[in-house]
Amino acid sequence: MTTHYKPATDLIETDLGTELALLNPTTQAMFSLNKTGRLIWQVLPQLGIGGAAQAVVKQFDVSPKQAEQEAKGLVESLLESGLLEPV
Amino acid sequence: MTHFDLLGYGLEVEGASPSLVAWLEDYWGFSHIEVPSSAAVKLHVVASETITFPPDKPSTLNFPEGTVTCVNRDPIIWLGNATCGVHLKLEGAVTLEVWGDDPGLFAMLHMALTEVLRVKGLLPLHAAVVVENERATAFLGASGSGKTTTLLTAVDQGWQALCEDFVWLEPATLQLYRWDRGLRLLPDTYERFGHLVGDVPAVQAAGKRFVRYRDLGWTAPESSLSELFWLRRNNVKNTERQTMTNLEATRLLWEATGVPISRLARENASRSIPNILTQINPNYLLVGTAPFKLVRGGENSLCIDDARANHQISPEVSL
Repeated sequence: MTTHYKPATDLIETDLGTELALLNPTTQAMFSLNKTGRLIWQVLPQLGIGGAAQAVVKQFDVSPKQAEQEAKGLVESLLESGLLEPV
Repeated sequence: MTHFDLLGYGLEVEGASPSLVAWLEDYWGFSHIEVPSSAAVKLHVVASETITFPPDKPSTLNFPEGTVTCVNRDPIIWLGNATCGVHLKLEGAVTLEVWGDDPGLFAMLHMALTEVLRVKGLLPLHAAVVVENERATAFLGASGSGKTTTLLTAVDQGWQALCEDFVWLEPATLQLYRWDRGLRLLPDTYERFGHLVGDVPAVQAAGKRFVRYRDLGWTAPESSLSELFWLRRNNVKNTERQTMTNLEATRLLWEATGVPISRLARENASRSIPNILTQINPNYLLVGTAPFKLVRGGENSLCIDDARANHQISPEVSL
């Protein structure tokens, strides 16, 4: 079964086009996602890790295996940083 | 009923005490747009006995002067407690209910009215702003970073002061609206720039000398934001301009505007900040220990002309 994720409550997103800034208003910590990370972040709530990896393959020149690894790694980092929550 | 302009949105106040009306006039009674909106924000003062404050565990909101407790049922927000507080309804016709008379009431009301304008799409900026040739330059920064000193440095060199502490920004047009009444000068700042203030009436408050703009005759035209600098103290002699990344600019703009309480206001700010950054490239201004001169560069960008230039030791420094 696909695990779904959602942005942490109160998280503030600022989309700068080429990158996405994520601000935790409680800690004032700011994180940035590059183009690939931005795409994964945007589709992850609807598509899960597998769907996000497919979206990356469609848009960037990467293999499905590499895209899957990148998506998994990013999700782990986002969960560790408290920016993402499993639904 | 008392009416306030509230940047064209209109604020209709009912049942307010003279002290509340006086506070509203002082802090929110700025007239910028002559025709008020037909959908004015309503503020009613009610008896605390009529309030059923929700039993939810409140969160704490921090602001420079202290903290306020908040029960957030977005878009319904409660500030304070059952004996004194503000109830804010942000959906549909925006209304505020106010009760009690604790000293903290004004801070809660200030927070609530700020949220109302954020929901309308405006951004509050803690900034000192100067104007030259109808182009506004905003200096942002943490407390003690030198905003007032930089503003007075500019005024001393012929620029006009728009505000020393607080301004509202319309993100689509970059129009700025002055939202403070005067200068707050620390003793050492007054000693250095007292010649700009002269003998006009002043009030001492919290260790600072408060001088109203109207007494100074400073009437800078309200202008569009042209440049934005984040000030940092620089422990070297010269003042320097330094570039910043978009990510740094984003973080600092959030810091300068503060984080809204409601989802709608957050979404507005999240959309506005990238728009601002497409029109303006904020820079750091590393404020050195020696006097410096602010001048417009060849492309109307701000330059620093440090003290050496005044003595013809080096040419104007364009950073």
